[in-house]
Amino acid sequence: MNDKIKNIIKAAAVPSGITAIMLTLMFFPAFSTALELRLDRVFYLPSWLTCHLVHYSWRHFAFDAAVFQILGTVVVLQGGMRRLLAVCAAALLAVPLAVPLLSPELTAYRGVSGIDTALVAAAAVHLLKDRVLPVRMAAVAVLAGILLKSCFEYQSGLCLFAGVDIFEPVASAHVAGMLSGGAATAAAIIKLKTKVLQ
Amino acid sequence: MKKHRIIRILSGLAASFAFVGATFGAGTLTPVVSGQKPAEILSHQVQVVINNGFAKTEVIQRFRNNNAEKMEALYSFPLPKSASLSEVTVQHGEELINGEVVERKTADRIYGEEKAKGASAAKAEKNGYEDFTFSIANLAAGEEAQIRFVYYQPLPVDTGVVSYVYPLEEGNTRDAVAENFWLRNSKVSGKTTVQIELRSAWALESVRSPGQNPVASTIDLPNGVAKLEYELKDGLAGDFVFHYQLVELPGRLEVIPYRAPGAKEGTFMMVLTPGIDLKPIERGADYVFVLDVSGSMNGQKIRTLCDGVVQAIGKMQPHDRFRIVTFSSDAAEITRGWVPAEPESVQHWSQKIQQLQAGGGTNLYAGMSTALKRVDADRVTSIVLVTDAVTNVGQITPKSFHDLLKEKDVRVFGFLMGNSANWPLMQTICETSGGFYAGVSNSDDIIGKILQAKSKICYEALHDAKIEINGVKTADLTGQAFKKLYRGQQMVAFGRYLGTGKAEIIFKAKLSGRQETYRCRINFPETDTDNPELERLWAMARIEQIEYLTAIGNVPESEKAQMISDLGVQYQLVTDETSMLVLTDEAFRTHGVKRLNQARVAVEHAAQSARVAAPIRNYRVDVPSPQNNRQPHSQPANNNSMFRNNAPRLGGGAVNWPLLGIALLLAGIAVTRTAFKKEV
Repeated sequence: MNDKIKNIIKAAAVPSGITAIMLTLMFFPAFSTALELRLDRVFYLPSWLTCHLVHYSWRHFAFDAAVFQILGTVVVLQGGMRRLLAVCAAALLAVPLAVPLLSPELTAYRGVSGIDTALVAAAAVHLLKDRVLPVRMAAVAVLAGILLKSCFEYQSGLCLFAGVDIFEPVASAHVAGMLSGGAATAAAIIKLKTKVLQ
Repeated sequence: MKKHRIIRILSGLAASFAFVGATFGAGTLTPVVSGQKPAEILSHQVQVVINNGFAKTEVIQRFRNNNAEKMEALYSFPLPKSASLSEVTVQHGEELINGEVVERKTADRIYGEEKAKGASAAKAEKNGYEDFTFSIANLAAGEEAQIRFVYYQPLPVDTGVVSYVYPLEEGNTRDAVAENFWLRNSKVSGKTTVQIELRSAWALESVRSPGQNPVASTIDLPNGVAKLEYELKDGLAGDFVFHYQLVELPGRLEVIPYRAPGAKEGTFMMVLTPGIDLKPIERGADYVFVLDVSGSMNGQKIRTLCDGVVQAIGKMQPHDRFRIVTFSSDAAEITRGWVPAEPESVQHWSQKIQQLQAGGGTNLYAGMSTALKRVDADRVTSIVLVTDAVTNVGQITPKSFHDLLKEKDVRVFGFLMGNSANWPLMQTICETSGGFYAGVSNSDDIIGKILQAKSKICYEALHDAKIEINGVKTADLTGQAFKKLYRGQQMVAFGRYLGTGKAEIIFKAKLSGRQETYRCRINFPETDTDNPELERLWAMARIEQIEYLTAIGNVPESEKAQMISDLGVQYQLVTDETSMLVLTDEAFRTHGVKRLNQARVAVEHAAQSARVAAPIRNYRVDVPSPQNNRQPHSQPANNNSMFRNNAPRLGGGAVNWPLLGIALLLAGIAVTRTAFKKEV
């Protein structure tokens, strides 16, 4: 096995572990209900972590988990395990804060999609420092697209490209995820550069 | 309290409507010059079945030709709103002949030929917004015959109440020449009976028929079942009105589908009852009373109308303002500006109103134009329009009213008097302004009309309300968008669905300037054969939509006729472009008329028999279906409720194909640009 493959497998290990936990929870729906973020008990802090691990349907899980697996690996490849943990930690805080504040009409929230959006922002922000112009342009396009989509969704109350499922898509979680993921990555890059300069 | 004030104002107005005198009832017509006696109406039976948001009305009338020679019997029946006339049969002795809908010209030609041959033939046609006319040819001297017809109509819930009107009273809206031409007989020598069978999926609070007492009844309010029989003492002279009140119900979405086995398309009726708290309006307001004083209002009508307006103005508060505009051949503002509703001015203007006289033509446009002058942008202005809307002077096209009102910030609340009134024009006026209109039957509970109007005027309305459907392809939707949706109003939408399976229904509306969005999931079935009548109801709704769009200039007049004709023939509906031709089987074969209605009626009768035998079906869809409950990740009860007051709302991220694509794109770039520059 060459080094390239080894690196990718190594980078995918932690996201795969988290995906496995999410998959396991899909078989225990009673746990899922207990682990979701309930807006009537929003200060129950364990649910700030666990709400990201549970999903409403197999379709919900499949898309969320696929994106998490891919982008989690990408972020580890880009910035190492610390980068992944920093981005996830930022989103873990931002999403459960944003949902009750910006979408108070909801009863409960589930899903790793807020973290997914944070990972998209993290991967794109990382590519902004690439030397090749088309790569930077692609990163800008991704960030602009996600930002516009999130703003539109929050303003209109609608989610673009949303499929039919048993839950309401929550645009505020996307906005919070994107901002927190982008900010965490930018901070990490600036810190790294400062260290290098020192 | 403002609410009480408005009730008092509307009470006064309504009191005036209550005494509007009747003219004629539905009945047989004979040309005055012919010298023949009208056919004698021997009996008139009405059977009404109300089930799942729509009513089936079956009318059976027996009549006899008392002349010494054969005659052509004509029967006129005021047109119920949105009624789709679907079946006509005529029994001549032992011979039963059935109806098929064809283009109007074809029907006229074939009917003329059969009549000339002395054969059994009949024809039903629609005369604009006024009435249905049935012609029965070659009724032999002394012969008894029986005509039977069936029509369907949607019955929405308004503020928890469903109202059914069997229209019998003529609205006196025909022109004088037409009225002078016909001799009318609306007396029934035998019994006039109405049987009501109500099957509601929701529990009932009460049932009522104003001015009538049932001769037999079986009522089970908790199970939503009622069977009542009435005998109308006045024969065909007055309308029959029936109300039923539902127990207080939450906001909800009901979807009734129909799709024949193997059909490429299905039809649905979607009824949305918003479950949204609407707050009372506390601001002061201006009222413009626009009153029809044309010739058709002469006699008792004008006096009682004046009395009503006087009472209404007398009950306003001093800080309210009003104007009074009257119109006949021209319009005049008798108040000449806003008048504060102070005691002295109220007394002064009350005397002036009592001196109003009726006469001349009907120039509604002039009345509305005058009403729209001097509107104060800082105050909420409502126009209360009382008319039969049969305008015949000045601008008379609906488009001209649409153009007049579309830029104005006023709401028009219309009270449409009597049957055969020009409801398409009133609809255009009210929908353009974001108001609403109500038909006023002389047989109805006027207090009910007041309370329903009050609950709309006194509370906030939802703006730009619309229903969207994602996930399954739909087409030809009607009634899915409202400029304003008032408290207690339902949205009743019809449409076609091309796919099957899960779909998301999104209801969007603005409340106090904020966009509100509500969702729920439904399933469009591959097959559902319970309600085949929905196809005709959809087609009729589509025809009304085409007529409205033509009226405001969005569909060319030339296309309208063909579109309506095509829908009428395909779905076997009597329209302005199509008529029901009633012939023997042999005559249909001779003239090459396809038996489309025969096939359609057979399907409908089979479904109706099956429905009677089955338990009442509840079509509410914004609750978990049994299918969902079987899934391992089923949610707590009511997780699919549309409105937040009813049930939990569950949120999750909407990750889907575009985001997955972006993830793959970023992964590709990362693998090529980043992965091997940095040690993991």
